[in-house]
Amino acid sequence: MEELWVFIEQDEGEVEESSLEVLSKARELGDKYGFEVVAIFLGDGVKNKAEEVGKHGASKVLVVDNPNLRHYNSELYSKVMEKLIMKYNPNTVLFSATRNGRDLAGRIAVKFKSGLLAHVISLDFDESKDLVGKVPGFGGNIAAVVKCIESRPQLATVTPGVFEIKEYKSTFEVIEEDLGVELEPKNIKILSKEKGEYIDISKSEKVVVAGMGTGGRMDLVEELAKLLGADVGVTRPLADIGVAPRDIQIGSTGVTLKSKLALILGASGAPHFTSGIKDCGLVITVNKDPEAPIKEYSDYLVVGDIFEIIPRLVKLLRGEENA
Amino acid sequence: MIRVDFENRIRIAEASGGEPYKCFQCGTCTVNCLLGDVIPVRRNIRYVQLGVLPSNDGIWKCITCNFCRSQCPSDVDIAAIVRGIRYLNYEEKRSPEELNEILWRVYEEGNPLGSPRGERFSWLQTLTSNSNPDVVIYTCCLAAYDKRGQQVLTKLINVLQSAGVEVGVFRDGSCCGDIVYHIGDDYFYEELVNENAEKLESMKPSVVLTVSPHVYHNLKNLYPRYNAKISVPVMHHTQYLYELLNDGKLKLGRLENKVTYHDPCYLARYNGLTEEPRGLIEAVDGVEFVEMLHNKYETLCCGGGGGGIWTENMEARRATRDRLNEVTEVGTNTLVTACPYCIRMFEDEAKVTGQDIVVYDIVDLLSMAIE
Amino acid sequence: MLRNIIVALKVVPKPEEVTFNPETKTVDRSKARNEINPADKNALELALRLKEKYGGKVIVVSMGPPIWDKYLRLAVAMGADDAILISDRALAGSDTFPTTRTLATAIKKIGNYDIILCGEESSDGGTGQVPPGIGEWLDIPHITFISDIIEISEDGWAEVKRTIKGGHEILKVKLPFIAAVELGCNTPRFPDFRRKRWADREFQLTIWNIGDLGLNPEEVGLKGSKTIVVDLEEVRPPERKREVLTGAPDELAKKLYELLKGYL
Ligand SMILES: Cc1cc2nc3c(=O)[nH]c(=O)nc-3n(C[C@H](O)[C@H](O)[C@H](O)COP(=O)(O)OP(=O)(O)OC[C@H]3O[C@@H](n4cnc5c(N)ncnc54)[C@H](O)[C@@H]3O)c2cc1C
Ligand SMILES: Cc1cc2nc3c(=O)[nH]c(=O)nc-3n(C[C@H](O)[C@H](O)[C@H](O)COP(=O)(O)OP(=O)(O)OC[C@H]3O[C@@H](n4cnc5c(N)ncnc54)[C@H](O)[C@@H]3O)c2cc1C
Ligand code: SF4
Ligand code: SF4
Repeated sequence: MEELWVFIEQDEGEVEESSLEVLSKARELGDKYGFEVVAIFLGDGVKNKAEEVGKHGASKVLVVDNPNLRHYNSELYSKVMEKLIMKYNPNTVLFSATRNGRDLAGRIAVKFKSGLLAHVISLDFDESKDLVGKVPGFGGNIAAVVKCIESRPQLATVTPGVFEIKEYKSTFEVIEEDLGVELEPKNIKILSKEKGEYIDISKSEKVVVAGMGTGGRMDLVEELAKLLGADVGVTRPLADIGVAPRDIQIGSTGVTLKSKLALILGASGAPHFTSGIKDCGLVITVNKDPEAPIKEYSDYLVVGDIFEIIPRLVKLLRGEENA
Repeated sequence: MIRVDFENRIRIAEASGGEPYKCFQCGTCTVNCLLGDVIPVRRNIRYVQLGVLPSNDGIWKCITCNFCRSQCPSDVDIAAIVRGIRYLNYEEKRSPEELNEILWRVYEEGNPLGSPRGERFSWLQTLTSNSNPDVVIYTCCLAAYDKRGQQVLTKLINVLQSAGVEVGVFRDGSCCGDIVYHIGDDYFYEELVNENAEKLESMKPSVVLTVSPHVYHNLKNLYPRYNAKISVPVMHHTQYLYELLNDGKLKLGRLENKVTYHDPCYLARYNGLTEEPRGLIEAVDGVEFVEMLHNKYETLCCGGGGGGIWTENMEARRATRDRLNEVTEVGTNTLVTACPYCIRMFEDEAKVTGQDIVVYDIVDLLSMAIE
Repeated sequence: MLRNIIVALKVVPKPEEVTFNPETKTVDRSKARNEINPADKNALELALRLKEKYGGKVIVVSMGPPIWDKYLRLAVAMGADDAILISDRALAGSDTFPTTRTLATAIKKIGNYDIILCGEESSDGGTGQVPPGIGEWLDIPHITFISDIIEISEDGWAEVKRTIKGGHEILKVKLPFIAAVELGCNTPRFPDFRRKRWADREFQLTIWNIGDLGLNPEEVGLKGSKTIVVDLEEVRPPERKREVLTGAPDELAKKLYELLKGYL
């Protein structure tokens, strides 16, 4: 049976959830088109984590366990992937479109002269088993339906959050690969790593989003969020100027929200941002400009100055004033 | 021991129009500077006299109000020295990095806000005539993109039209270049202002009207230094409206109000226009006019000049507060002024301080008196 | 002293000005103004800083239509020493495979490179696949999402800062390498207008066609691509109420409170 591969990303043994989303989707496609779904799992001491991965749709988990694979390293990872692909000739390899997933896929594509669909938001095969997917472009306003033509393997990266993680009851085998190659990095070495606490707002129920209109006054935003029991997100410029971490940036180069409630303060509504809020439930925005493009994306646009309205709202929420 | 760098001294003094030589280091300027605790005014001039180019933060915090000059016993044009220092710092690539962003916005969108070029006048509903108008309005970017400024512009057009004036609007123009001048990018400024002047001339106006004292100052006093010729009179709207009033074309009704007037630095101190606005205010029957402590040539500053309005200049807001306090002191809550920067600065700051002060452009006042 | 620092620079339409015609299913870029891809400006800024620190020559290379000329000159005005435009009808319709091939071939032809910088992604196609792809064609290491090149040591290694989930990592990478630079990681310098005048009037832009690169028409453009676009769709935002609430701040705060109450 032809194989459909999913690259499972991890760091220090911690599995990237969006890889499991892709794996769950792959299983669905595998059942429909007759592929054997294989999870490719590279890391250090990850063999005993293979169970955790496999249940999300794999019929086989290929593990490459090596201390040098503890963190992502584009040199080593592409080398290992190259060996594996040459050995097994999969029909298709899928990646989650995370920073590392995109980094790796772009390299592999040229190595194997493969077609590569970029950060797709839908995925399927056509009758000749060529991969088809929707690729958003121009800041997310327009999507192209793109198809791979006859290359094998064919590749795609999948936008995190578009597919659901599922569990399957079927059994799977875990195979540890010994590639017999030396895995010493020659060109890229990791010197250090600094990770703060990572906050994943892609699954938050409620989010307060700060735009440039807040002037970077995160104290006010955080206070409001706390009172609402919400998480905080920002538009890109606030991450650029460093008042908030990249991880909570919303939009086409950040996170896509799926919250029930989004309260957006002082964001103008640029396409690169609004693509990140299209899946939200109720969207309430505060902007002093009644004609700001964000209006199109709002259920309610409250026209006024954040610094006048929000402190008052905070008082109401604290119960210091009566509504 | 500090040794005088004569060559550099000449270079900086030349960039400052020779002003540093007039200073005898009395220190009055530092004492009087509205932001004197963050700007070492006298010391910077001392450095210049020694041939050392200052590049401290204060150089960029200065709002070029020239209040210091108004107090200087030797009438040193201190803002000109600041601008000379900025220019040389820019040349030596020692100016704050963020300023690049403002320059990019002016270059790409024709305004320092970075708002789309195509939307500069998308709000303008009033019909204006662009064939042989009596006046052509050269609007300030802030007025064009700020709701409040748009109101003032619309009212100005209506007031002019009610006096029988054919009004045209300079739609092809970009930013007048004020911010570019203050950042010190002379070569971009030169290119920009020549392009503006050429387009403006092609409309063949008989008078160019500005709502901003900054646009006025640039067109009238700075453009010619960069060989950008405007062959017709440039007037601030208060000047033109005052002429209309004296010609009996402006019919004003009654309005009960007690008001004070804030002279914008670039109107009063830089260009001596102090009587026209007062004449207009006092022409409105029923208006009680009170003068603040600092007025006319010795006016205070709203904090918006010299780039203050476009940059994150927290200190500048102290100047704004000082002025708002003077308004309260004379027992009124109506502050009339004649500059889009002033309106924006005062309105924003009054919100923060919680002062109940209404800020009008003279046009707002006239427009109410006409209705 | 560094050898050549090459910046791959793309010109893109401003995303908010691109419209879609659902009937003809075409993307209308004609009314949109173009600009240098924002992240590529950051890449160029980084390149210029490296040059100031370590010497070398900054060369901009771009694959696109002749109208991009103006933007390459702008890059020169910002401080690039040279600019090359690869322009050929046969390149139309390239996906990332022939794009990387063409750019890599041009970079080889320029030669003598130590560092190649790209933007993290373009604001139109936005695949982010071009930088690693070029790395593979040239058989050199690639690093994506970098926010700085901290230091380059005498022994030919560079220390770079790369953004990762939850933070960043510091990597050591061997020269020559290619890196994709994060959007917004620095402030691109504004061009010197004396230089701009020269760049606009006198600078000689090099233009290469695929023949100059020794590529044949089968290898590039639509024919050389591994993917095809079969359809285009507008991604419609869900219908929103778009109710505008105005009033005094006190009132608005109360209205907001009412709207939010159900979610507490
Ligand atoms: C390739 C690329 C990728 C990008 N990716 C992203 C992305 O993932 N996410 C993202 O967010 N952006 C992204 N951007 C940037 C995007 O194009 C916009 O520049 C950005 O979203 C603007 O952020 P903003 O709305 O916070 O700021 P602005 O556009 O400056 O808007 C500020 C708003 O606040 C309002 N305001 C100001 N003061 C007040 C006040 N006191 N009270 C109330 N309202 C006020 C103003 O009216 C204005 O509407 C990307 C750009 C490119 C080129
Ligand atoms: C909506 C849409 C969807 C698409 N989907 C796919 C797809 O799924 N698969 C696919 O293979 N192609 C796809 N393409 C085509 C792809 O965008 C083009 O091949 C494009 O030429 C290069 O890719 P990019 O813009 O995505 O570059 P990115 O990889 O996003 O660009 C990163 C950096 O590479 C450099 N660079 C990129 N292009 C150039 C250039 N022409 N000249 C100089 N430097 C450059 C720049 O520094 C840029 O910042 C799509 C295009 C569109 C419009
Ligand atoms: S007040 Fe005038 S003379 Fe005195 S130090 Fe200042 S600039 Fe010099
Ligand atoms: S111009 Fe104004 S801000 Fe600048 S030094 Fe003089 S008083 Fe101070």
